[in-house]
Formats: sequence, C-alpha cells, structure tokens
Amino acid sequence: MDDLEFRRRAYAEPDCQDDKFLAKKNASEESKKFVDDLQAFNYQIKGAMNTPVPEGLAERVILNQTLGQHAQKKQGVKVIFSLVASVSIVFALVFTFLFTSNIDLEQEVFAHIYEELNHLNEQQHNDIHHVNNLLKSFGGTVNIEIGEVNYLGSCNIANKKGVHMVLAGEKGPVTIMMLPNINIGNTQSIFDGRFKGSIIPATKGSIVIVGEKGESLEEIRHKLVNNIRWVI
Amino acid sequence: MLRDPVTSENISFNMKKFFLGNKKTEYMVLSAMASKQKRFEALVNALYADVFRYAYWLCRNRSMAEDLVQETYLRAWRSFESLKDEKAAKAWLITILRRENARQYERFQPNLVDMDDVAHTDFMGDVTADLAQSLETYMLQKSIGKLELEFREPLMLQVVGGFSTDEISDILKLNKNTVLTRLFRARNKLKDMLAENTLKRGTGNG
Repeated sequence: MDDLEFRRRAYAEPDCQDDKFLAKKNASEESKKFVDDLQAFNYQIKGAMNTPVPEGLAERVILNQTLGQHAQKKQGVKVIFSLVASVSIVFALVFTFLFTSNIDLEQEVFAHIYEELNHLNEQQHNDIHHVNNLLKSFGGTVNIEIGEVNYLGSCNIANKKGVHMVLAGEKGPVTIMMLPNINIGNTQSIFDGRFKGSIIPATKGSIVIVGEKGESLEEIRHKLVNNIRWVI
Repeated sequence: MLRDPVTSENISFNMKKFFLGNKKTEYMVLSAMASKQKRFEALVNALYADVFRYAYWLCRNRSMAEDLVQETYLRAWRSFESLKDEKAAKAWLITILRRENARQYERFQPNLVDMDDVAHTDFMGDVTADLAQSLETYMLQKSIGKLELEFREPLMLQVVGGFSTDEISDILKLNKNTVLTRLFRARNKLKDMLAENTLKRGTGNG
C-alpha cells in the first residue's frame, strides 16, 4: 500500500481493519499519528451528528402505527359503505328514470285530454284520407278504415308533436294519440278516475289509446297497431 | 383397512376436534398478530433514534425529519412481512426512508434555512472550554450541513449508521470505489471548511 492510497483510505475509513492498512499505519509514528488524528476527527463528526432526538418519538411512532391500522380497518368499512351507497344511487336513478319518465308521459297525456275535453264531443266526420293527409306529415299512413274520426288534429305531448284523433267507441269517445317521436320500452297501462287506456310502443314512437272506463279498447288497438305504416 | 363405523359418538368427537382445531387456529392467528406488533415495537425502540438522526441529516429540518420517521415506520409496518432478516432491519429502514425522502422532496421543496444564517454570533473573546467545544461542534455541524448530499450521505451511513463500505455501496447502489472516494472527499471537504472558518475567525479577530 503506497502513501497516497494509505492516506486516502485513512480519510475514507479511519477505522479500517484491513491488514495492509494496519501494517502501514504501524510502520511509522507519523502514519500512526495521521490515522489517530483522523480517528479523533471522526469521533468529533460522530458527536456533531449525534443530534438530540425529539422526546417521546418512539411512542408517537407506535401510536401512529396503531391508529393507522385502525384507520385502515375503518377505511375498509368505508370502501364497502361507499360501494353500497353508489350502487343504491345507481339503482335509484335507474328506477326513477324508468318509472318517472313514464309517469310524466301519463300525466302529460291526461293533462292534454282534459285540456281539450271539448274535442271528445266534436263531430267532424273525417275519413281515412283526412287522417292520412295529416299522418303523412309525420311519415305514416293508415291502411284501413279505422272508424268514425270525430276529431282530427295535432297535439303536443312532452314537447313532441303527434296526431290527436277522437274516435267513436262503444261507450263513448276514444282518444288516440300517435306520437312518432316518443319512444317507450313496454306497453304501459294508464288510468285516472274517468279514463283508462294504454301507451303502446309502435314501429315508430308510440300510440296512446284512452277511452272511458269500461270501454273495450282491444279492437281499436289491434286495428291501429297492425295497420299503421310508418316510413322510417 | 377397516374404517370406523359412523356413530353419533364419532360425529360428536369429530365436531369437537373441528371446533377445537378452529380455536387453535384463531389463537395462532391472534398470537401471530400480537407477535408482529411486538416485533414492530422492538424495531421502533431499537432504531428510532438512528432513523431520526439519519432523517435529520438528510433533510436538515427537525419537523420534516420527524414526519419522515413516522412515514418510514408506517411503510415498514405495511410491508413488515418483507423483512426477512432482522439483522438487516436498519439498512431496510434506511432504504425506505431514503425512498420516502425522495418522494417528498419531489412533491415539495422546502425553503430550508441555511445553517449559516442562523445565529451567526461572533464567539471571540473570553470563551470557556465548554463553549469552545460547543463552538467547534457547531462549526462542524454547519460544515456537515453544507456538504453536498452525495458526500453527506455515505458519511452519515458510515458514522451514524455504522455501516461498512460494502453495506453503504449496497444501500446507495454505488460501487465500492465510488463510495470510498466520496467518503474521502467528504472528510477532506469538512477539513477544508473548518480550516477556512478558523482562518476567517483569526483574521476577523486580528
């Protein structure tokens, strides 16, 4: 080990126990003193780095860990809780969307009928040509005579335009609304104190059939559903 | 081989064995948990001071150092199973600490007070031996604080951590010669800084 290497080693590792290093150290008083000085310096560095540790740190670390573990457990419960909560929110949203939208439609239909009650008593005697003239503007045609059309006009349900007809039923007037722009998933029965009927999905949009209570709507329904053709 | 006929005594015996066995497992789980907690507490008590000092010299700020210690031990607890050899615990903790420090430092760079600006008092005059001693320590601390991290860190590992050069090169992921060079330069720089300070003090006073 040459002098340079020895000195470098003494600086890097004053407490080096390497045989060659120790041999070199003990070879002369000068080199012994050199290492001793560096060891003393190292001792000083150790003292300087020996900064006081905050009191109670160990206890705080253990406390933190215990609390953290508790919080982790609680977090697990929280995760499950929030999952359940979000699932139920989704359910609630889907539920309200599915049902309230139809309920709204039902309300709109009845509101429109009551608003225009006078149409139930009209005697316009429209024939199939009149009906088709109006239906054409919506892209539809009826193939067969659907009966006496006492009122024929357009209507506005849920801000969507449709065809409003009043036919003569067995017990009284029957309201038909063809709503090409309102889609529903399934046939929905609607009723209130005076009227009853249904909203039926059609090839394009839906058809509303409403009559007085006790009116048999099945025949009209059959006629309409099978004989309206929409140009899509 | 003849099998035991299934009798009601047999069933109840098996049930008993089953439940007792279950209780034993439960006990084993509980005691494993308790022993993990115990081992962890031992790890805290044995090494928290070293870990704190290391953290302090890493970031040179006591409250940040304490946060680092807390975070280090929390992470250690979470991956306690990965500590296989408890003799290696100190190096393991310091590795976690260094990673955590790097993470925190990326997030937020503290406006550290330069140690040079703190209480720069002129101690010249009548100084007692104690005061001279503490002045020397103070100057040394200041100089250590000024060392670049690449020199300060191996020095910390050697002096505070008591690690061998091989261990230091493992922790810092450097080769052994680089570690030796850095240690050499660290002490060299410290000596230079101290000599410069003494010179300044001498001329300031003269």
